Order: sequence, then structure tokens, then C-alpha cells
Amino acid sequence: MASDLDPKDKLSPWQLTILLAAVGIGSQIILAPAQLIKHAGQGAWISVALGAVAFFAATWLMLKLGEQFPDQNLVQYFPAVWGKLLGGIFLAWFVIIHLLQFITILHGFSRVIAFNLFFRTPEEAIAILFLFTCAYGAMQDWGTIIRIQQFIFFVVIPPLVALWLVALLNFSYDRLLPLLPDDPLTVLTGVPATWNFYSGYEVVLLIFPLIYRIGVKKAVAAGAAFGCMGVLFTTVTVLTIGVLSAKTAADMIYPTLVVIKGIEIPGTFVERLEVYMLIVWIPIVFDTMIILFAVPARVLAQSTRYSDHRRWILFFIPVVSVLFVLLDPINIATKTGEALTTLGWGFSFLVAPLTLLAAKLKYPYRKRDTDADIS
Amino acid sequence: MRIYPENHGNGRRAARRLAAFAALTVLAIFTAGCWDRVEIQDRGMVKSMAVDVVEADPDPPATQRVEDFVQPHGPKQFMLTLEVVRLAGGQRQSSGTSESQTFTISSHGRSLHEMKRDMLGQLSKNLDFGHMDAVIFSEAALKQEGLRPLMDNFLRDPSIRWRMRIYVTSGTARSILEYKTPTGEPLGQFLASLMTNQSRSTHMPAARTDMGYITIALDNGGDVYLPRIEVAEKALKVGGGAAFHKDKFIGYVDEPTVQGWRLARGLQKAASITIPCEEHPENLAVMEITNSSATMEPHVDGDNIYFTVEYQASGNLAEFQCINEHGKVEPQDIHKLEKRFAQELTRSIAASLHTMQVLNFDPSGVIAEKLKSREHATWLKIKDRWPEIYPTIPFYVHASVTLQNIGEHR
Repeated sequence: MASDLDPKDKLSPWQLTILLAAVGIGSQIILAPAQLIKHAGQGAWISVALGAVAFFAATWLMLKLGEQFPDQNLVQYFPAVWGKLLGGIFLAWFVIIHLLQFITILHGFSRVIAFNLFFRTPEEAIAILFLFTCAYGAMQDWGTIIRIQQFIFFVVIPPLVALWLVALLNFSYDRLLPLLPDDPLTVLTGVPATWNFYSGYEVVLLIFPLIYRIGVKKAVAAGAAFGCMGVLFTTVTVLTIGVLSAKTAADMIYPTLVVIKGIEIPGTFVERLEVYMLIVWIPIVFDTMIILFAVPARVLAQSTRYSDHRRWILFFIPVVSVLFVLLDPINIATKTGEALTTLGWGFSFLVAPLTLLAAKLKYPYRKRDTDADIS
Repeated sequence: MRIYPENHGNGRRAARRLAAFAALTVLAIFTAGCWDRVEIQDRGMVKSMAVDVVEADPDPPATQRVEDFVQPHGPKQFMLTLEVVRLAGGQRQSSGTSESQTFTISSHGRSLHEMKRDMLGQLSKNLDFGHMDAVIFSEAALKQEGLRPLMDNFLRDPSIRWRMRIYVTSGTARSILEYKTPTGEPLGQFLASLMTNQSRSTHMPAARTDMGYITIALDNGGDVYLPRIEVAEKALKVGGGAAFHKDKFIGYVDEPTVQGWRLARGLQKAASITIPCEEHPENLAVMEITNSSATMEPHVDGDNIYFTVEYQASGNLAEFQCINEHGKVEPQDIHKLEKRFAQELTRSIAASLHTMQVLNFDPSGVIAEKLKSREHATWLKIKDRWPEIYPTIPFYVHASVTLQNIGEHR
């Protein structure tokens, strides 16, 4: 008889929503806004809102691609569609995106924690501890990971949102005006940079066969996740600009943290709320990181016919550690971040759509998967 | 030779578990615990800081020679003084006087950060700036350096509070730190509490003048003003403001100017307004404003730009010094008083805005920001000429007053 502790490798569509939202709402909520606001000015919140639409479109295309091969994941159908070499290159691209994203976030995370909470603790010590924790989490089966994500999502996101809403005390609407910046093009060119906010949705290519095909449609579930992320990220960006002004936010390294730092609740002894925010932020980052770590390990395990992805996770630990040290200088980390955005954007809007097109051309009569109503 | 061949699998599993346990133990030793742990008794909590210009002295006093250090770069321009909490508490001495809860230490140098670090040579505690409530800059230091460079170290240090207060004094900032507060509190804490009174006193430019707001104003190219603090013997007072063009000190603005600006900006809920009696001007009638609101709006009519300020206040009659001459306050007097208080408020706000324009001073860049956000097309046309245009812009002020109470006694 199956118990709750047995491994579960099936996801309901609403679990897909939680998975996508949990992997998206992560480290970048603190790490990403400065660069975006620097680029798009007070219109950055529009870029973020447009980003939700753009990356939902990318996810929708990936779901459509999955429907072409309902019982397979990308490891199986990429070589079938593109051939061994090109398929392998695209799979490597997919793996690199996740690993590089993992390292970039690990870098930013350990730097923020060391700088703001433990200034005497070496960043490397924080990174190693977190790396091992994430590795342990990533070794679990999908069902366990999903349960961890559900728990963290519902326990941690409400206090995070509450903290940000207190920042309304310092909010000034005038700082958002004019709503459209003098150069509206910057809003559009800022959209690709919001990939950092929403990234992680690429996981649908791997988990598609695990999602139940009855009940709520997968596209609706993904739409709910992007709606949730879009509202949260847009609200946070609006608050950041309304509290700090676009110019100050662009000059800050972690503006969303300063927004919380500036909260003073009259008549209370509660202060230094940014510390509470960082404490809440740690599990949120963990939520993102276990997926970013689990995905490449599972892709490589399947590609190399190793049934157990845990060996790859153990292999990744020294790889990540070495790359973490190599990417340490700030300028290299910045360049890596920019390259990563290009790689992520390219995979979503070049590789995935082209694969879908090629699959449709190559298998025109293939029976496709469709979501069935539960009735 | 296998001793227990049938248990070989179990033995390997046990060895693996032992290795995992050892690995976890090693990991825990290296990563657990807290590098950053500093016990409270080991903390030298800084409550306030003073920055002065150091006078060149070829033969400095002995104390200064001890406080000093050899500086590899740049001239010694500043004296930094810190007010540090004495955690053991004020101890009563045999003479009956109580020992202060704080003490001060100083250093001379160019970099605030370098001086802070050098001061660790004078202290058995670890300096902790996370509870610092006040920084006092001397006028001389600000004239020499400007505000932004002096604030730079605070903005880079994550332990510094974003809502920390900055004050300006015309004398030496160190003398403020050496002031013994009447309540016995540390000066930083005393000032922090004192500034909470700003909601009922319009003379202190306290609202939106903390470090966070100043930083935003400076980043956006705005002017700033800071509370002025003065001390003489046993008296300490915060009132009026120090004005800055961007971050350059330009002078002081008096209490009525601060009051008018705060009323115009709607930054004041409670205030006192005085009017002279019409027949006996040496006597005053005073209104206590208990609730108020203000809106400042830009308007563009062709090439003309003007602002309107609409101010509404309600409150109580707090004092009526002509009671002997005019008798008790009757209901028919209320409307007349309301009208005269409204006229006084209009005059006060208009005079303050005029002073700001004469100084070409736009605190926090508020007026420019209003025009930029509400009349953006016009702003784009005139933004380069804003310093010339601003002093010529008409402000039309209208105030209305409702007297809700005349007090307990007629």
C-alpha cells in the first residue's frame, strides 16, 4: 500500500503551477532589479510585466513541444528531432543554462548573506554549506522536491509579501511618473533582462511526461504560475521605484533590500527588517536551487544511461565549487550573468520554437497529447 | 581472508555510513557555528558621531598626539568623534554624581573609515555602528568637503541605518557629543527621541530629512536641507535648517521658513499658528492645528508655469491673550478667527516659498519633481534652464481653516 512517504513521480497541473512559481520566485528578487532599473528607468516595472507575458509564451511553446512527445522528455526527443550531434549540443545548452544559473545565484546569494548578515564569514563557507544543502535536496525524487516546494512556498511567500507591503509607508507615486519613460524603447529592450526573474520554467521540457493529463490544462496551470510571478515581480519593482526612485534604485546593488531597510514602523521596537527579509529569502533561494541542480543531473543521467542522477549531483559538487571560485571577480560574474541571459533567452525563443517546428515537419501525423477534462 | 563473508554487505554499508557521518561532522565543524558572533558586552555600540575640521596645529596637545596616527595618504583634515555606550551602566560615584552612560573617543585623519578603524586602538570593544542614531557635521566640515563625500562611508556600510539622522551645527560637532543630556540618555538616543516630537513642532525640519531621503534627493539632483543643532553650556536645541544646493552648504533657514515649507508640503499634521490681535498687536491668539492636508500642483498655461498650493487645517484655539480687552470668545468670533488664521497660514506658506525661491533652493527637488512628473512635456523643454526659471515661478497659495474647539474654558 502506498504511503505519503513513498516516492511520487507524478505531478498534478496545480503542482506544476507551484513548481514554476517556486523556481521563479527565488534569488533574483534581490539580485536582479538593479540592472533592470538601470536599463529601463522608472519604466522597469512595465518590462517586468511584459516579461511575464513573453516568458509565458516561451513556456506555452515548450508545453506544445511536449505535447508532440507526450511520454518523452527532451533527452529522448531532441536527438530524434535534430540528430545525435545537434540534439546533444542543444541538450548541453540546456544543462549549461541550469548549471550556470545555479553558480550565478550561489555567488549572489553567498555574497548578499555574507555582506549583510555575516561580514566575517567567508562567502565560500556560506556557498559550500548551501551547495551541500541544495545537493541533498536535488538528490530526492520529484515528489519529495515538489512537497518541499509546496511547503516552502506557502510558508515563506506570505511573510515576504507582507514585508514588502509595509514598504508602502515610504511609497511616492510621483516617483513612477511619467509612467512611460522618455525613451520607451528602453522598456522593450529591458524585457530580455527579465529572464533572470522568470527563469526555471525550462524544467517543463523535462517533467512534461510526469504531469497528469486530466484536469486543469497545463497551459492554464503555467499561466497561473506566470500570473502569480508577474504580479509579485511587478509589485516589487513598482514599490522599489516608488520608494527609492529609479535613479537611487539603479545606484544600489540590492535595491529591494534597501526598500525593506528603510521601513520604520512608528511606535514599535521592530527595526532592521531587512534581516528578517534575508531570513525569509534563504528558503526561497533553496526552492529555486534544488530544481536548478536536479535538472542538469537528471538530463545527464538519462543521456549517459546512468539510471541514478545522484552520481551526477555528486560529480557537480566539485565542478560547481571550482567554477564558483573562477567566477569570483565581480566583472567576470557580471559578464557571466549577461552571457547567461543571452543563452537563456536564446534557448527559449530559438531552440525550443525551432524544435517544435522541426518536430511538426518531421512527424506531421504523430498522435499528440491533449489535456482531458476530469469529467 | 574473509572472516564474516555472509556479513560483508552489511560491513560495507556500515563503513559507508561511517564515512558519511565523518564527512558530515567535518562539514559541520567547518561551516556551523558563527564566525560573526560578538557578545553584547564586547560591543562598543556607537550612538552618535561628530565630524569636525581639524585645525593645523604644529604643537598639538598631548591627548591629540596620542589619539593621532600616521596617515599614508592625504592631509589630516577631519576630526571624528564617536559617542560609545558604556554597557556597564552609569555608576554612582562617591561624590554622588552619576557616571555618564557614554564616553567619547576621537581621531584625526582624512578617511572616516580609516579613523574608525584606528580608534579600535583606543578601545577594548568592537565598534558597532548598527545602532547609530545621529551624525553631526560641523558647518566647517561641510563647507570644506560637501555633504555627499562625507556621507559616502555610511552609504556603503550595510550596518548603518537607512533612517539615521544627520544634523548640522555652526560650531564644533564634538561639543554636541560632549553635551550631558538632562535625562541621562546617550546623546544619540536623546536626539532620536527628540526628533519624534517633530510631528507637533514645525520648527524642526525632521520629516523626510533622514539619510535615506537625503540620498534619494541627491541622487536625483535635488537640493537638501538638514536639521540645525546648536549647543551652549547647558542648553541644546534643534530648530531651523541648514540648506544645501545639491550637496554644497549655502546657509541656514530660520524656523518660520521651515514651518512654511513643511505646511506647504503637507508634512505636518500638528502645528501652532499665531496671529496678533488687531487692536492690541502685542497680544496673540494661537491656534493649535490638529489635522491638516496640503496639495501642491503645477499648472502650465501656454509658456507660463505656475503652482497652486491648497492648504486645509482644522484644530483648536490654544491661547487668546486679549481675553481682558475683548472678553470671552463667543461663537460669532470663531469665523473671524478662522479667516485671520487662514490669512496667516497663507502668508506663512507664501513667505517660505518666496525665501526658497530667493535662495534658488528646492528642498529634495520636490518642486522640480512635481513639474517633471505632472507636466512632463513642459519639463523636457525647460529642464536645462530650471535654475533660472524656478525663482520666477508664481505660487498661488490658498488656505482654509476650521476651528473645531475653543478649548475647555470660554
